[in-house]
Amino acid sequence: VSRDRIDWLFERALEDGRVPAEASPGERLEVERLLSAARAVRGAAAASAGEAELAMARARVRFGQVLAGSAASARRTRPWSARPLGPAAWAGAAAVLVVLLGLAAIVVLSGGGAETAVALEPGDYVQVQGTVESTSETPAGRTLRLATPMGPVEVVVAAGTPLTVRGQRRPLSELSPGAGLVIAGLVADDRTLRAESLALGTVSPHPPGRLERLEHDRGRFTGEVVSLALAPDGEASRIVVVGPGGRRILVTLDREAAASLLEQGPSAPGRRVSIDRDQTGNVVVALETAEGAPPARPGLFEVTGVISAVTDDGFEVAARGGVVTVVVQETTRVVRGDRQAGPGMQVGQAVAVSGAQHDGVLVADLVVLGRVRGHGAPR
Amino acid sequence: VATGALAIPLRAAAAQLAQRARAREPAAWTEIFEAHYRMVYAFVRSRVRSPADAEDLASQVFEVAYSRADHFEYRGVPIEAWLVGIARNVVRDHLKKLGRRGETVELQEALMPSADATATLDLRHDLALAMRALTEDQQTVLTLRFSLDCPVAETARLMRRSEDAVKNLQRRALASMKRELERQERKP
Repeated sequence: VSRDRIDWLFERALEDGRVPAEASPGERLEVERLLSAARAVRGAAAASAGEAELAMARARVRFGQVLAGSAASARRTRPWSARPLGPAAWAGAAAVLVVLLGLAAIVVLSGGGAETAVALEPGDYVQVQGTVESTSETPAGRTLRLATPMGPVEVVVAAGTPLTVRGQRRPLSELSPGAGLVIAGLVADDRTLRAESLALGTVSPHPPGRLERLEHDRGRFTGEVVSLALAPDGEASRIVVVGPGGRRILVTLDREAAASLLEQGPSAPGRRVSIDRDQTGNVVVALETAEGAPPARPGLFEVTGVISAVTDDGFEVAARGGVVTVVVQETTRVVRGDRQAGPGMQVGQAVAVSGAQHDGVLVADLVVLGRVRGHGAPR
Repeated sequence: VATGALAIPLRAAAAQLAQRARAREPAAWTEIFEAHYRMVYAFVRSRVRSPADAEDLASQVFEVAYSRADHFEYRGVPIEAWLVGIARNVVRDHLKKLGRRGETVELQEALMPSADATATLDLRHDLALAMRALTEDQQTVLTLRFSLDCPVAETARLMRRSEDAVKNLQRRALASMKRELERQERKP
């Protein structure tokens, strides 16, 4: 049965209220099924019509208050410097400031647990930057306490986990207090981070602080990514950006926004980005491109290019420096930026990979799949 | 859908309204609210179980739109498309919050007695479960086509898809929904 013909018969049936006489028995059956489902949606909508009228009366008052409040606020607003402050106002402001500083100190001194809990959740694939505070040996391997801009993170580093400096392997014994580090790993149920790869280098010094969520009406700003967390389903991700004034802003990205960021550079910490919203409120994130040489930053090993072959355990990437063999593991997180590209990996598909080098191959911890050559732009 | 000579003055009026909305002119926003609230409410209501939540979320859609008025640019896409885009985001955020709190919250609300008849509640409950089996685009196409009675061409415009794509999406969505409703009927 032709899909176009079923669509045509169905639209006719919607107009006339009955299946056209020329439909064959098979077509009639299919169109009846579609009509039945459409009637269920229409029935529920009809039942809601009365609700909408009642709701609208209340919503009209509420929205009227928003409009009136906005107009009044615009009339009242004067530049801060023009507002006179009397002694009582200064004393009040000072008291408020003391209370706020006290609250901030409590949050920071509590170990930052609440902040890291929001930024990193069990099951997440995470990339985070920080400075090693302390190290210890446990039966599970080497354990690090990493000072991050969201507070301390406990990291378990199993023997054999690759540690690199500018792409060169180093022994895990170089993980000592004071070292700057970028880590990729998975958050366990006990909220420790199980490292998959580590890169040593100098990271920006951001003391721990309170996280703010990105407000709906916040304008465009730029900042440095200090952590990335990808949820297991790949549909939502979170990045923490240290923005103007050192504010730590938690930004939730949908799959497309995350893919568009990671396609350009799958090792996110240390990158400067601009954050904005489009006209429907979707977050738009873009890498900031600096003129001249990019600033030095520690990064996980990464490669971007086009898939030139699909292998039994991964694929090969034609990159600027040559062909790189990539191994995909069970724990590798895959982000699909192009919904039209279909499942799996295809020759000709744009790809960005982050991971660690082992015996001449790149063992991926993150794969970001983009457009297939010849397809339209991703939605 | 306006065609021919009528379409030009309508587009000009829409562009003018969008310009006034961008300047946050209260009269323009009142006009937008009166023209589109029912559509936004119906859109939201088809995705959430509680009328109170639907009312709150529909209000939020207009508040978000108003707060982001200076981002709105009229490029021939109607204001409804913008509002539908915001509504999708607002509902998505709401469902994520519910998911974090525990998915059962919404279903419990659905089963609480209200002024609705039991049959209506059952229908909504079954429909809500069936809707959850659909993709977001499939849910949107069903809401626009059968809750809001938008013709195919209007739905295509609001979803920024071709008419063929809308018909394809609609057919798949209805087929999935039918299967899901039948599956629920078979449950003891």
